[in-house]
Amino acid sequence: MDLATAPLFGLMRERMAWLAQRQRVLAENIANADTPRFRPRDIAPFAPASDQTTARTSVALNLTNAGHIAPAGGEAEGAAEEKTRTVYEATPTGNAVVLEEQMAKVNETAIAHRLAAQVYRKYLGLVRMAASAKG
Amino acid sequence: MDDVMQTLKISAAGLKAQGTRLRVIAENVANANSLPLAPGQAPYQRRTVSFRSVLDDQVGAKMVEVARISGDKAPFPRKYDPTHPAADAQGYVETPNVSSLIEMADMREAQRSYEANLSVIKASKAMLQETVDILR
Repeated sequence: MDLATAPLFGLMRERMAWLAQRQRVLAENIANADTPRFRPRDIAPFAPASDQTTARTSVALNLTNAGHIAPAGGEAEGAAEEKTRTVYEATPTGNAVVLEEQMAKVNETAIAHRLAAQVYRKYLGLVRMAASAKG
Repeated sequence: MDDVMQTLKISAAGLKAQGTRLRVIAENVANANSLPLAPGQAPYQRRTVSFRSVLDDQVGAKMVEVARISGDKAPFPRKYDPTHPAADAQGYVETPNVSSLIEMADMREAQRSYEANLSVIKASKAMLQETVDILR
């Protein structure tokens, strides 16, 4: 069993990578909270690549022959970063970052990250238990 | 993991920029009564800080930095004080164009932005800690 591709491990890994990327974008927003003409950004909602029910955003090459070489960089690239369209208010200098809103998002991301990390640990514990079970 | 590390650098740049802003506000407040020494000389001119967002190649993110520190173009208020050494022929002295009310409001705003950046660093630190804790 490959741990990185096991259903829950893979999903949590993607989830934590998405949360980390979102945290970076939110940090940019907050650092630029007083920069003239700065518009806040956010990233596209979480869409796990391992989930077959949601539409895939990236196009992957199919291997139709065993002799084909798999393309390098199978790692899923980050979610798209987009400017927030509707903003609550903008200062006279054209800055549209609302600190309260951004702080709420930062905390939301931190809590979701904790959840993902806890689930990962719990699952790791299950695997350990299965591996070390005596009799 | 790498994204969270970048977060720390971005927020640190934010702290630095807000720190510079606070320093300039302190200069303005300290010099609120810096009058000219002789007639014809200018009093202390209020200074303002402007920020700009730059794409840092190393970090690959939009960092904030101080674009420039410029003088406030507002006219100097005149005060009638014929005994002052810098008074002109009519007895007026030019005073600095610093309003302590504006400086205080600006200071509070800089303080809030500084705190916000600090909170992001704390949140990111907790995220890193949780990730490391998986190993335990």
